[in-house]
Amino acid sequence: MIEKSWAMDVKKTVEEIQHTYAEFTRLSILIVDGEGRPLVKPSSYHPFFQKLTEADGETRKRFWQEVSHYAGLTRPAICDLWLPGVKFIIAPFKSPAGDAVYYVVAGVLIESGTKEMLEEEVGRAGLYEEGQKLLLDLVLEAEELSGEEADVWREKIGKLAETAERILRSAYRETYVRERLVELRGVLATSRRERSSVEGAFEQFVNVSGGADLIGYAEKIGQGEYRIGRAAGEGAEGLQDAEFREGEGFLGQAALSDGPMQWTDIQRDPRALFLKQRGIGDFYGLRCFPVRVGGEQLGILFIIGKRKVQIDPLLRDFEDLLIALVSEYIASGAVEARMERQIQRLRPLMEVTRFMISAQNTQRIMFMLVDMSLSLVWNPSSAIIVHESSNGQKVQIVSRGIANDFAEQYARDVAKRVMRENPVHSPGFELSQTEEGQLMIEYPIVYAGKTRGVLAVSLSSEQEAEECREVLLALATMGSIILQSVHDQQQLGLQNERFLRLMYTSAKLGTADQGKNSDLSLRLLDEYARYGGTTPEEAALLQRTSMLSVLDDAARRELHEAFAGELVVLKEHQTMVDSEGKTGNFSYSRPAQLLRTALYFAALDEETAGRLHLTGVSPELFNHFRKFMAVRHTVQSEVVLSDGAAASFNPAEAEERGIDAIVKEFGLSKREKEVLELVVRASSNKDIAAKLFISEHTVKNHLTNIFNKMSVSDRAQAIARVFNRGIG
Amino acid sequence: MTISDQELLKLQMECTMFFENNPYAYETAKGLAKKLGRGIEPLQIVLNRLAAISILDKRGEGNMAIYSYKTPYTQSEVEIH
Repeated sequence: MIEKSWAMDVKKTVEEIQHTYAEFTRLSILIVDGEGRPLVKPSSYHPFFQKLTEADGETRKRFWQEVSHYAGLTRPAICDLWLPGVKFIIAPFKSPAGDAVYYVVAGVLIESGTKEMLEEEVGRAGLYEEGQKLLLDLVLEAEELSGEEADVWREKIGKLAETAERILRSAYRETYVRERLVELRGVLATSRRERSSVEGAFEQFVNVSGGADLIGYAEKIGQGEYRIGRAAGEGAEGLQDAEFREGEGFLGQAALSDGPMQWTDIQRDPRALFLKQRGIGDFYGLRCFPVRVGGEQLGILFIIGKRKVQIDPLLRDFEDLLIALVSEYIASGAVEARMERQIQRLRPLMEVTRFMISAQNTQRIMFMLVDMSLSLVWNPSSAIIVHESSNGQKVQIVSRGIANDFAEQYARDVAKRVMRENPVHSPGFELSQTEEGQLMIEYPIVYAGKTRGVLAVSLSSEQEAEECREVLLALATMGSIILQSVHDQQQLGLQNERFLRLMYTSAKLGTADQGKNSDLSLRLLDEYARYGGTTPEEAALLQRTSMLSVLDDAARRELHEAFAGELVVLKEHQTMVDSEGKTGNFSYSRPAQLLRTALYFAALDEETAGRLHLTGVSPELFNHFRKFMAVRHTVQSEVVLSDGAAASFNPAEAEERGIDAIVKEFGLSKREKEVLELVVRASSNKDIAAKLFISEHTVKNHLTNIFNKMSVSDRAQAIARVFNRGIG
Repeated sequence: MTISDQELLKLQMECTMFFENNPYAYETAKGLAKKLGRGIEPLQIVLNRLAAISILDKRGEGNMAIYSYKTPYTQSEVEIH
């Protein structure tokens, strides 16, 4: 590698210095690598090294064998080569990469007074021809030196070796290390591009790294649990999807550490077993780098070196720095992915908000919160919302995926823990564990100055909590705001209604007849709701509209903002009254039709319902109300006759009791009972067929059977019999 | 999460809201696709997902499967001891 990247000017510099030293010491100098190859042209004060480099391969080989006898040297030494008394200075120095030993060889040194003797020795040495000739020339050309002089030259050559080492290392770093750094920088670029999926960067890293044979990433998948997801290098396949726990083996120990960890010479360490068993075999060293975000451990990046390799410390430091940066990229990639997943879940929430705002009903909002929270967590299993009841003494719950008794027990616990003991919360969340060990993330529902509920979602792990908490917080906060709005509306509605009642009471004092009719219409609407003709909300709206009908135009204008919807209904009602008896296509809202019918019947003598229809009122609605009036009249008469407890009478209950009695008495089947219930509620055959998912023909068959069993001839008689049984 | 996952989540929310607003609706995937103006394939995935997390009831299998809203467990008068 050094030959490849060693720049020519550096060779020249070393050569120049070598020549200077040769001139100064009057020695021939040769610098060779660990294999005996000259690094630069030798400086031949004597022609020895020149001749050596020109000599045949055998001679060069033998000379190198002589030098390599001193391979263990760590300091410059004066050594005998070929013959005792033929001395060379051998000064070792580290190769530029630090992985081998190079040598400066300088000579020849002959001690004073030994030259003649050596000439004779060379002749007797029995060397092969060329070697003997070369050695003889060497001895003849050599100057005799004293021991002190030789020692000075030894030191000088030692200095030359140090200088050569510095220059070569510097050149090496300038060229080779730079090339490697550029390659490693490529790894960084790939990591930056790939972020959390860094397979490409891993492959690149293993190819350019000095000491890494395998690199891998173990991701935290649960509390104290890790899985190796990505790896590259020798034996990477065996590690794929391998799982370990904190504390288990080297990787498990690294998982417990905040900073990088390193182990070497661990071939026989039992902690290496986990990796060995997965096809890695024996390995020399392991480096681990935690991947963290804030205080949270996301995973561990690890590098396995199979053999002991000497690499440049600069490169090694750079590699460590690079891996630390790759860890950062993985961490930031994971955070980005987490954010993206949360943002993608937040977007649909905007849509949901619009629907929730329009709901304006506490229970429906609770349904939405439970359903949406299940859609927003990664591994949905259960969700529950606990909300204080209207009187604040009890709680109402809506839940999914939780056993009913557990839901109630949990609701009590959370109501005490979150709503009672700590009634003022700031928006946030808490993690709790149920007695069964289920992890729950709980969000207080805070509005109108206190905690009025809790949205709780079960999670599979703390990691999941980490990932879902923001999006669930957004949902809970949104729920709080919308419930606040519903609460405000209700409060405002109550105040307005109180005010309306006050105005109504004052107004009817001046219009006795109209007031009387209006009172009756209020009662009728209330009873009709209990009879099942309207929902309670519909009945409330109609009652308010009925009260408004008593007020004069000026008062209505004052109340326009608070009762806009009711005034629209009232206006429709007036149009209906005005168009009574006229022909044409009329289309009015159901509340307007109901109001028209209720006020019409309230204005009539209770016992006579003169018309068989009202203009603009659908025949079904009108007939249903008529039926209700008939039943109401019968019931009231009967009740008066029996015990005078009319006030406590409930037509819906009477109906239920009556049907039960009929079923028992006449042996009606379950299906016949369902049909009869619908008949009593004034449903047509078509309606019954639609509601029960059967054909009209089948409905007729059921009715025939029911009439036969009850011994009645039509539905009117059947209804009358039901109510008679109900009040009997 | 891929873009199609986001689309699925959006559709899941839409379906949930549809069934919440129409608690008595009984729909096949095909019928609902027509009502919502959505493709049947993603809808099938979403409906099955909603059935898996107990938001919807599923009767039958395949194209003939009928989905309806499963009212959550509600209890309005729980005493706090």
